[in-house]
Amino acid sequence: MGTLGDGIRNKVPGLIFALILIVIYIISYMVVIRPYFKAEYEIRRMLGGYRTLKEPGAKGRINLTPAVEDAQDAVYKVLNSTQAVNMNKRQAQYLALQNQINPHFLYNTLDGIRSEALIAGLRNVAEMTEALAIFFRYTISNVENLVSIEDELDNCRTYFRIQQYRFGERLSLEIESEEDLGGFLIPKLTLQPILENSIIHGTEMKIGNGKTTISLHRMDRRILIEVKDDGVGMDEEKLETLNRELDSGTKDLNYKGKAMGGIALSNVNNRIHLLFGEEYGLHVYSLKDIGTTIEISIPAVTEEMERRKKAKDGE
Amino acid sequence: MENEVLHMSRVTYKTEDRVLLQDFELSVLEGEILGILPLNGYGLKAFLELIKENLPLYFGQVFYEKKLVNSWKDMHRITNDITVIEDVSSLVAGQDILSNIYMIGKGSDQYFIREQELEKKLRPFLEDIGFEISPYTKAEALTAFERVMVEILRAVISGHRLIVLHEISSFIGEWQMVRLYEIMNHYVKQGFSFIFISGHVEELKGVCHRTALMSNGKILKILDREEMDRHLLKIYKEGAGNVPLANKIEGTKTISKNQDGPVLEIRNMTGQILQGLELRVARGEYLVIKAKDNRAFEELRRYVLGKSSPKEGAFYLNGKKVDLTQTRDVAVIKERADETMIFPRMSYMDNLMLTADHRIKNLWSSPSIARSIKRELKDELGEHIFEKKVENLSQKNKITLVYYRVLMQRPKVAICILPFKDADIRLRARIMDMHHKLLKKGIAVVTLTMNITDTMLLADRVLELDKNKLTELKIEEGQDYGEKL
Repeated sequence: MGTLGDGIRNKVPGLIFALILIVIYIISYMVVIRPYFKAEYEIRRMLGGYRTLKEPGAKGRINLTPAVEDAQDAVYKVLNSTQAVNMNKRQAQYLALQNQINPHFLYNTLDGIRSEALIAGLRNVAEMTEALAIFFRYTISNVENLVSIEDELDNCRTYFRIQQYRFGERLSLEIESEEDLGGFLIPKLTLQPILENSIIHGTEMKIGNGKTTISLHRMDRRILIEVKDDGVGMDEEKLETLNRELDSGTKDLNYKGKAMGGIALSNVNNRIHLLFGEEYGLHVYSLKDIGTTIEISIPAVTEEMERRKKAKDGE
Repeated sequence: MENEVLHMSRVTYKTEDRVLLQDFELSVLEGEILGILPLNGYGLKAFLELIKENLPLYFGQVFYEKKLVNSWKDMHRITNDITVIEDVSSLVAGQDILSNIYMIGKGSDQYFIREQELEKKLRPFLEDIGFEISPYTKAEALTAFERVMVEILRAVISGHRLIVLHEISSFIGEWQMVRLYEIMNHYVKQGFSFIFISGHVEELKGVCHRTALMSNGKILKILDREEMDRHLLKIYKEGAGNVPLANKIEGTKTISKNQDGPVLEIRNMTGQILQGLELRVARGEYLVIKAKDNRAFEELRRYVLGKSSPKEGAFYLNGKKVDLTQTRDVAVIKERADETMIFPRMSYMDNLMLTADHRIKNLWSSPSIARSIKRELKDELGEHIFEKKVENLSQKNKITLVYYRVLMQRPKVAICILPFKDADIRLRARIMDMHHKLLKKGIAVVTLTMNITDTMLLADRVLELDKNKLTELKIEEGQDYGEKL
């Protein structure tokens, strides 16, 4: 009995040591190793083009050291600053604004042309000029972030009217909605650039007539707007690149609006991301020779909700 | 307002360095049948696992029944109440329908099993869809169709709002599919949603409200019914890729068919289900045998594979009784040939020449023969494929290898068992192309299938197999697959 008791007693220090080692391992795994790998994984995803960086103080954010935390805050600020929002908004304006043409000078000139055209009996020219003036007025003035969907749709109709002078009956536009969603808010200049994209890269290149349909759907927590054309579509590779760019936001600092034939989709997408968060934005579906659908997902926000939010922020 | 039952938002899912789903965006609405047409099978398995198991995402979010259930930011690892119905039964063998629905599913909250009460509870559900079956039937005694019905019932009773049906037509017959569509539509009206995955464009356009075209782990486009109708040929072309299109294949009518006498016969075949089955196959003929009765079909399949023998009757080749497994004049190509007919430890050339030594002397001893075979086939198979490890080949290349083996064997008849099972649209086009190659060599092709759609372009005759008879279905001129496209 005494030998057995001695044996156990001799093993006790070893067992305690082993237990301490296990506890140390568990603590270091939870406190050091696991956060390290998680941080490494997130940084790799960020480098892979995904917006994985969480806001300062956000739940689940991994701060390895105070310096790493500061670095993350700094990167987050750069990517999400008001400057970035404004930069994208600026990018969402036409070359006219970029060239600093005085908008009033532009409106007055267009009005002048319209008057001259009416006097000369050139009704088509007058109407075209009027449409152009309305279009620029909407585009250049009131550069607020959110407007009603109805305003955006009106701008699309105006833009389409202008395009119809060029393409005639070859192009058609249909706007459909199962319920009235016109009162919900949307970032300004979201729909028209997409419609423009659909016409220029889709239906314009098609032989024969082309149709673009804008359809609005109210989901339980978001508004879904589809801009669908029956144009030339694109191959799988091009589609993949485009969606990759949209998801990663790699085009935001590398604006090539002119080359893209208007406002790049990625700019519209970036503005939605910046205003509403990562879960909203654009997604493109396309099949060669069948057509392209651009799906816009935004939260269901009304003016009243926005006012209340602003009042709350002000407090 | 529309309710989304499932919403996958910009999901990227990868394992180690393989991206299986990329920028995957898909919504399923309440009371909707959403079709998925896999142009290739890449990522499909991952998709099915992901929506059910909430596997860790590389990026994106998944919402199910209005709740965020999976996100790249957080790992939940709870399973979603989604039922996936596939060719493999999820019912527990040895248990009856009642136990499978109420004990194994989430249908019951009782601790003690009172079978009569459970039967009372089940009865209205059976009557609701007009499904007549004894609730005490054991799982293993169910036909494929009955099994699918029980799995749907279990999903409905357990409150699973989303049911996924994966390639159902590959194991249940066409008239049963019609019944299944009726039942799906019945539940759709009650707010249930379905994802219907099928490689057959015709099936999808008939039953689905919208169809998503999936390729390489991405959703390319979502089409409504009208668009599916309008773009049928384009979709098929997109799917078929570089493989010669079915409608480009010259009609088999140009291939001479020997009318002298049958090359293969079944005489008075009698077993448990089959009663005095008779069949004659002409040289170079493309004959399709479609199942009406699953059990009869299964019995015939077992006889073809030599897994059992009929009580009476036999197969005859050129008038002589034959064991199909013992002759090189008949090649049997099993279902999922890429798994069942490839020998991964053997080289590509050994796999290819395996059954050709009766035709080519010194095949195994003379390297020059192997070299000349490589030279002959390199344009069709690819120059570097011969050096590759067979186990690393793609599914398409493995199946192509099996068919080229048969071409080298040069049998008189090739019997293909469920050749299109689990094949995506691109692979089906390849298999159809291979069948055409067999026919051009004068080899009769007998295809045993559940779904005749793929075979319609080549078929000379389509026979429907019931319990004791084969009934010839009429193929009307201009009604074949190519014409339909």
